[in-house]
Amino acid sequence: MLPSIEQLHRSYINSNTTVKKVVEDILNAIQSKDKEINSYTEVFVEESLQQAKAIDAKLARGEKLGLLEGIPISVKDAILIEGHKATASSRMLENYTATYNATVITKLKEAGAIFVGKTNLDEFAMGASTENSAFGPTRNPADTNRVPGGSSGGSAASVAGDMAVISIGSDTGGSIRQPASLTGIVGLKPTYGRVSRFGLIAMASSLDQIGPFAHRVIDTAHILQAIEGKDDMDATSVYLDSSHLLDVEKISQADVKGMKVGIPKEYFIDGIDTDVRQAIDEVIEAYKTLGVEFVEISLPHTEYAVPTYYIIMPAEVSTNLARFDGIRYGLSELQNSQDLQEVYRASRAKGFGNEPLRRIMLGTYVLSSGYYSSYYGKAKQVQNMIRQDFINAFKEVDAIITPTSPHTAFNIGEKINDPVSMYLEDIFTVATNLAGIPGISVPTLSTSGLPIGFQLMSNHFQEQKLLTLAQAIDNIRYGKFNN
Amino acid sequence: MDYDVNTIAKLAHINLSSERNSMLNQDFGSILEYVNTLTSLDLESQTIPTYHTQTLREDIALDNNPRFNKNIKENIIQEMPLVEEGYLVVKSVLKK
Repeated sequence: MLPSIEQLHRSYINSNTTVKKVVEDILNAIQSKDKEINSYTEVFVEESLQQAKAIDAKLARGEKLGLLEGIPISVKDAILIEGHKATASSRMLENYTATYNATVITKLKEAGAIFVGKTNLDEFAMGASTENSAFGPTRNPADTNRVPGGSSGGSAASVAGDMAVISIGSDTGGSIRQPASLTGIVGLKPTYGRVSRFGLIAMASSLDQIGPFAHRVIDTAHILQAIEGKDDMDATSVYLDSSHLLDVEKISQADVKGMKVGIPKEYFIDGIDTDVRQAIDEVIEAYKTLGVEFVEISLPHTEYAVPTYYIIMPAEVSTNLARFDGIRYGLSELQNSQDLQEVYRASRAKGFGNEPLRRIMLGTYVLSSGYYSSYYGKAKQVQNMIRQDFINAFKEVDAIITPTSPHTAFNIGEKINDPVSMYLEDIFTVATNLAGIPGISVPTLSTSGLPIGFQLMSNHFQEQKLLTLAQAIDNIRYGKFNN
Repeated sequence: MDYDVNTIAKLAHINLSSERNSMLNQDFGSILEYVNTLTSLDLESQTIPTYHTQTLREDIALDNNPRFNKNIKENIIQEMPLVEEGYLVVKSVLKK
């Protein structure tokens, strides 16, 4: 496993290694492993080495180094980095070059992070296995016959396979947490609005949120601290007052004694693999030894979360992806078409793969005259009921614990032809997005077999509590103060 | 279930091949059957507001914004499929 952010930082300032050496090691790892894993869509060899040399020169001059300076980061290929391809793993954007930086990229660049490349995803972030990529599936480093989850499967695999220290992904219905669980790393979906979405290729704008992957919980806290906050370019981003700012030092102490965690009875249902259930029980027992209290709670509208999500999300997909029409950018059949309508129809037919097509069509249907109120209108009401369930629960508890996924990583090809079965992969994660609350997936303490993650959720903007609880398990795994 | 994939494809501005037509016909039935779980909820007898996480987007001015590369207009034009004299070319909407 690669060192954490703090460990790398200490190695740099104590001259135990150089930034160039670390970046070279990462690039070598990508070269040797990624032919099989296929986590990257593009690797920035020259650019990352140049950045590394510049930071080494800064160190040689005796200048102070920021915590994120020289940290190698991979970025989901749905997030714009100016001058680099931004494909969303779609033929539609195969040759598209980003003309500006996403806000998270600007912030991380200013903090001195080194972007080593862009990572594979399910096309336009639609999928739970990264098999829907136009550039081939990504494989799980824990077992290359299995999927890494999705849609940010390339990001998860790049970190799990030690081809990046951190990755930046996006989560619309579980696309950070589910792949983190299936690959055995940490994945954080912040509260909706905490991190600017400016420069993220939109899938479902009211649900999308950018967040980090890492091996260590504390690293996700460091990254969140760097990327969060109000952004003039995203009107849905929020100003964080001092009570909601992260105290990373306090998180690292993981003082969880007296915290109360809810176990929602609707999430612990038949259909969860026995080994997943056992691994979660083991985590609950570990928490109890640290003084955490557990109570059973109810989230009564849980069974409606996935159907609600699969109405609201495609509705937003169908409107967001209407911009890909072959006129201004991306794949175009302009020269082969007779009229404007044919440009739209031919470009979109050629550019979109099967899953975006399915969701655009479904979204068009649920928004069409005669069906709007019975599908979309109703789903928006149920979304409110789901949100209220969580608000009521958080009056009683600090956080909620669930499995992230009902099972471990499944085989490549196992579910690709069964859309409903694939949609049910999101069963434990979509409610978080519908309610706009934060969620994190953390590896359980299980050390045998395939990776298993557990999910913690907290109330809006309560990432401090969420990360403190998550860090407590990291402290058991790695030892306290070993960040 | 009451749907016609050809009509939906027309509304979505997408040409459908015969293979995709049959794939969608098969998938739509099972997906709609699944999302129809919501119909078991009685929402008629209650007043439940809809929920939106989004507020209205503010206008964003590109001109002189320090966040953007000063060549952004040229870069955007470079991404366009067909350009003449600096203008985007599209097919005519109205027939002469």
